[in-house]
Amino acid sequence: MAVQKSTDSSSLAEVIDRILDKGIVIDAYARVSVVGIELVTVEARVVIASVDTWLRYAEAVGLLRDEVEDEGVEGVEERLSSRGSSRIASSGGSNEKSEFNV
Amino acid sequence: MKEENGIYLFGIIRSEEKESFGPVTFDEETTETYTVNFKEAAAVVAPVSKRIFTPNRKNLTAHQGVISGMMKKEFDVVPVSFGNVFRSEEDVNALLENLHPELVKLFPEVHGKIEVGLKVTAKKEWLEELTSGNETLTAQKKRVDAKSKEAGYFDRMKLGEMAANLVKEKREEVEKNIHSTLESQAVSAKSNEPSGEKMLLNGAYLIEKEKEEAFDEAVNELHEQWKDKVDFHYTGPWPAYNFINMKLKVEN
Repeated sequence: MAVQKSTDSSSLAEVIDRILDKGIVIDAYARVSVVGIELVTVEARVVIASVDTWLRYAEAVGLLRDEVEDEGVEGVEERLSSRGSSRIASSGGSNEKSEFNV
Repeated sequence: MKEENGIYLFGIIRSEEKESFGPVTFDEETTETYTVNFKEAAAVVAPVSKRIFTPNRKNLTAHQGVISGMMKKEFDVVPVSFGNVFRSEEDVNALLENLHPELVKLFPEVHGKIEVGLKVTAKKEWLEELTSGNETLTAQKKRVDAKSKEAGYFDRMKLGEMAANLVKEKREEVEKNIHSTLESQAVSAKSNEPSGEKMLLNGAYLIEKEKEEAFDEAVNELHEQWKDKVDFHYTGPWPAYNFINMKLKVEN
């Protein structure tokens, strides 16, 4: 078959797409039991440079080509900015939200 | 400063047994994975020194590697996002106990299923063909070219808007053709926001493992029809990342 699927390291962008904000996502301030769970968690967001969207489209379809270069995986990595925070849980109730999209 | 120990959580599988998924290396620190079990739920964890985990290539790949191991052993996997560290096994156990009612509903939903991803990106040549064949666009392009960059600002914006509309049109076409076809063969499907201007489809599909080959064939048939216009980026098998949306948080 011409198109084969894989999850190898060449698809880091795919991994980023999934493991940063999908599945069970635990908030930095989460406490889910009376035990008082303390979590150290990393908050990572993909930050896209604020280039005017429409101009990017014009460049993408080959009408303007002076500003934005195509981004490879390295570009995606550069766009990752991370902030971290750690909290010590004390007391109080918990609030969980869950949803299954099937 | 005293280094504290923590427990890194990768995901939760259905198993009443103790399991291991081999060693994992984060920031040059190699540890052994094991499970914290509560009834039929097993949290796949590794002991780590408590710190902030940077989402760099190596660390992300390490996390994904353990997840892949769970998939290869054919467990029902509920994945947890990157970078979560707990203070102790007791806390992981408390999390499992708390999530148990949700997990018993989730495990059968993901049982025997995998997620695959398909990104469809327009070929540059095809887009150029489309723009050069579009009279309004070429006329606007001439207007832009005739002016200096500063004087032509609004014309450039207008041109950009036209380009965005053209891409939008093609996205709708791909959604109707490629996405709908695949959706009809999946248990569930999701069309995510495209992550680039040239991307026309960013799809995720939850499929029965038994139908994996048939699905691969369907993707290839579509590729055959579209290969002159677009590129396919087909990935998987993933755990059901796009179909499990569980946010744990506390509102203050």
